Amino acid sequence: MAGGVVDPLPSEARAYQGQRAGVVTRTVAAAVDGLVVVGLALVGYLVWAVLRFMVDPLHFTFPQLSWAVGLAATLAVLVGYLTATWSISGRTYGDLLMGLRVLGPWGGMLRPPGALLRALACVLLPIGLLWCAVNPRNRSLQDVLLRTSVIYDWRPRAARNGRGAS
Amino acid sequence: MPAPTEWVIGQDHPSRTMRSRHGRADDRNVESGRRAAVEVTLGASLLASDAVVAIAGRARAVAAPVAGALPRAPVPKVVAPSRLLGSLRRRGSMQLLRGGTELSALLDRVVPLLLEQLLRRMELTELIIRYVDLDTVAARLDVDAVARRLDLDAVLDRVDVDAVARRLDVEAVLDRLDLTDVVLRRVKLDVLVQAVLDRVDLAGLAEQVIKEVDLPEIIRESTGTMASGTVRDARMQAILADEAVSRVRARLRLRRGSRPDALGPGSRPVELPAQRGPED
Repeated sequence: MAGGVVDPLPSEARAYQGQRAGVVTRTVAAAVDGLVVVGLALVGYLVWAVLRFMVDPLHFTFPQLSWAVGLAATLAVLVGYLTATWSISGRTYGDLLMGLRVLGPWGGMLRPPGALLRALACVLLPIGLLWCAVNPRNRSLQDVLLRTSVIYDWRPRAARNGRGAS
Repeated sequence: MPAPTEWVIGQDHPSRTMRSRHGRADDRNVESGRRAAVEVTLGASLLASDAVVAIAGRARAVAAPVAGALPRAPVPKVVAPSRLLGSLRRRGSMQLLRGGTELSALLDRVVPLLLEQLLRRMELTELIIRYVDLDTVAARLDVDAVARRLDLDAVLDRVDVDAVARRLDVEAVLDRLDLTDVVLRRVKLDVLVQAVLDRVDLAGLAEQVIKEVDLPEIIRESTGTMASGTVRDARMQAILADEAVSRVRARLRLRRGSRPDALGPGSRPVELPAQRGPED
């Protein structure tokens, strides 16, 4: 805890702070992130439709997208969402909800290139995330390749040394 | 020699009848009469002794005519009875006085010697302990009077207080004392606390504590961390599910003969990259 002796965390959760998260927590966080991204994609679709309506309201129809384009657009939103959140705060909304934080190879925050690489790896090979259920150290395939870690960190801010907790 | 007391046997003084009505005057008269009787008796004894000596002298004169050169003892003249009694009393009084003086001198010489021999042959301490009720004696002692007669300043001047203090086992004294009880009974805690509070800058102390603890940061973290009990429960449930998965994984690895997981119940915390380095 930064500068204080009073730990606001519940006592039952303190022992887990700083440990690598397991597959269940990470899957729940990923599911939340998926919903968030789907929502963002829908919002983007609606914005695009509104823009088209404003440009030509007489001939307005909802944009027709193929599955491939829609999937590609959604994945692109997902990559951008993951890259931005990991590089800015180290956690997506799903991570924030589940008390997780993504750390870089040295235990600090991921930089944008590292966050982009990890986001691409997650999007292109999502099954690799399940590897943490098999790995003795709770490391996914992306974590093994990029030397990243996902830890329990219920505190709102990252520790100054880059770790969520000891 | 003091003059003998005036006393006339068989003759009542006119005022005697009146004084006899008072007990003290009678007692004094009786005592004086007894003394006069003793003196008269003693004087008569001396006169009889003189008479015996005179008769012996006459007999010696008859028996030894040739011994006319021997001194003759005085022969009392026939006197009136009152004069005879006065003379006898004077002689007895003088003899009593002489005998008292000689007896006193004799006692002065004998009593110390006798007492010393007695004390040497007796265990005086044992006798005192056995026969004297020391508690009663002590109860009758006026200790305050004794203390008042003591010159405590002179006594204290002769005492080396530093030496006495060096020999004191203060730790032992403190062990025997219930200091907490002494403080609770003897110390006015309200006054003490008030005095302490007066000397403490409570506002400054509170400000320093808040600064050290970083209370605003704690509040921020508390509100951010404890935003929702539902979220906290969801997180804990997920963590418990992670541990369950880790246990299953560890069990499977044990069946396969592999090393147990680093995770799982009772396992050590996971080392972070910052602790291990990039090569891990």
